[in-house]
Amino acid sequence: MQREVAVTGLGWVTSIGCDGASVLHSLRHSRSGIRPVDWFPGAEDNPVKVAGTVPEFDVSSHAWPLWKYPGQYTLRRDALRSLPPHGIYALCATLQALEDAGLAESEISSPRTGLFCASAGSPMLMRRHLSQIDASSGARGHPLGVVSSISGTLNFNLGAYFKIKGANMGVVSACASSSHAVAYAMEEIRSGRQERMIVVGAEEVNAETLVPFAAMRALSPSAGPDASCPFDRRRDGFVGTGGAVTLILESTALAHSRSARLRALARGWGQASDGHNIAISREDGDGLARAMENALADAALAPRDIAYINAHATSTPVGDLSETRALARVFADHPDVPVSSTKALTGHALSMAGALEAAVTCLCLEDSFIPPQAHLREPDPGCAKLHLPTAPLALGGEYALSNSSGFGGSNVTLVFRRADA
Amino acid sequence: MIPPSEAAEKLPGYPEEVLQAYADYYRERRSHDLDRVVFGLIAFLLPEPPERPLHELPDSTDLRADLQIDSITIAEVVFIIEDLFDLKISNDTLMSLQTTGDLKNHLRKELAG
Repeated sequence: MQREVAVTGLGWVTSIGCDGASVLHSLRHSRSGIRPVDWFPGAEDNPVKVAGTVPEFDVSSHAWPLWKYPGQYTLRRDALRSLPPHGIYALCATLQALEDAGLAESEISSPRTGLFCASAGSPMLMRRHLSQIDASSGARGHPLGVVSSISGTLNFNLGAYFKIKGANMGVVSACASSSHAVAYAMEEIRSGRQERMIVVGAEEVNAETLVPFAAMRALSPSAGPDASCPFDRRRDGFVGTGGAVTLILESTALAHSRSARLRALARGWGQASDGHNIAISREDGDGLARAMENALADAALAPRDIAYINAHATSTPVGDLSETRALARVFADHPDVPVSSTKALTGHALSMAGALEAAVTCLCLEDSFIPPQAHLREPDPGCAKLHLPTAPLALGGEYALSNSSGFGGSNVTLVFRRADA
Repeated sequence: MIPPSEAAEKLPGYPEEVLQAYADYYRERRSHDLDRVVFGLIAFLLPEPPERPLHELPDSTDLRADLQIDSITIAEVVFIIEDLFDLKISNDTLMSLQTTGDLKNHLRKELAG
């Protein structure tokens, strides 16, 4: 029999707040984290005008001694040297989540505790390190260049910082990465291989990470805090963001044994792929629909049991319609299920998106509310059949889904339940 | 070696005393100032500031065993030193540097040449 999994800790470094209370306030009051950015000063045709910037932190320099972070965190400076800029977000979010979960060092550095992370690495530091190597014809390279920039950098750094002794792994499936990380962390606990998992999603908010998406015509060229407007007729691409979110997952039995506060229950997950295109969602949403069906089956639930769906919808013309069709198919007999994409407020956090929205979903379950679909002025006619609330709603049930989709047609759906149900 | 202004650009956010020691060495070429640069850099990369300046420790102080400096940190310090002083320190030499005295003596010899 599979073991039950609980979420016992959440940590936040996001565009809409750097602690749970701030994030909750932003969600309830549709306070956007999207701000103007000027990464190419003076450029006539600046492709990126806004992003979900991270308050309270400044990691814009490549040089770690210049980074600024909130004074509440006491970080060992030897640990900073090998971090990428988003690593400091990840470290702070994880310290916050571990404190939220009430875990001692001996419980963190234990063979029973593992760490799964997801990020795209640091293109900014990678560019700098490769430039040094290139300029010296291969003779000169920073000794920490690899571990601070490649896509496993969070595992290396956080694994060492917290002296992780259980599983330690990175997950790469683009914008589904940290949903996969949550899902497989759940599996580690369900199977008994681990008792507790730390799951981290993080990304940088800078030109090197985000502007390449403009070349794909995936980023919104719009300005203003409502440039991210999922399901709206005006949508013209996603708005990028970064930061870090950490979830602590534990076997419910272990959490109960130490009288931990349960934030939510992780009840199941499903995945399926589009079999279609390197980057574009399949029009009929078949892959995501099957991911949702698989998740419902894994949690032994029917569509009617679901009280809220946190959509992947990134505010791209094709993607949001694809998800709409997937939702229409799976929830044909339950069309009134409330759906919203909180990316309207946060921006799209790429590899971090799954962890961010899983945590948002847990927060909403815990606080018994459904966040509205912010920035929805004129719903796309193709999305008109969705129930997209324009004001916060009271949660009308116990279960919620969180969807994620990534390049290559990867789709993941997570199922959470209220802890007190 | 590069001028102090370039050194400051290469070491953004590093302690003022290290940059001052570098400027002093650039001007006077005194071994004592060289030690302040090198051991100031090492001290800045340690988990906690040392109780007393590292360049005042006995030359027999073992970099790894006594100061708990791992090989990546030594490689990082050497990377910075190579940049500042326009030196090339081979892997074999790197492995042979066991004590603070080894490091001092090697750099003095290299820079004297």
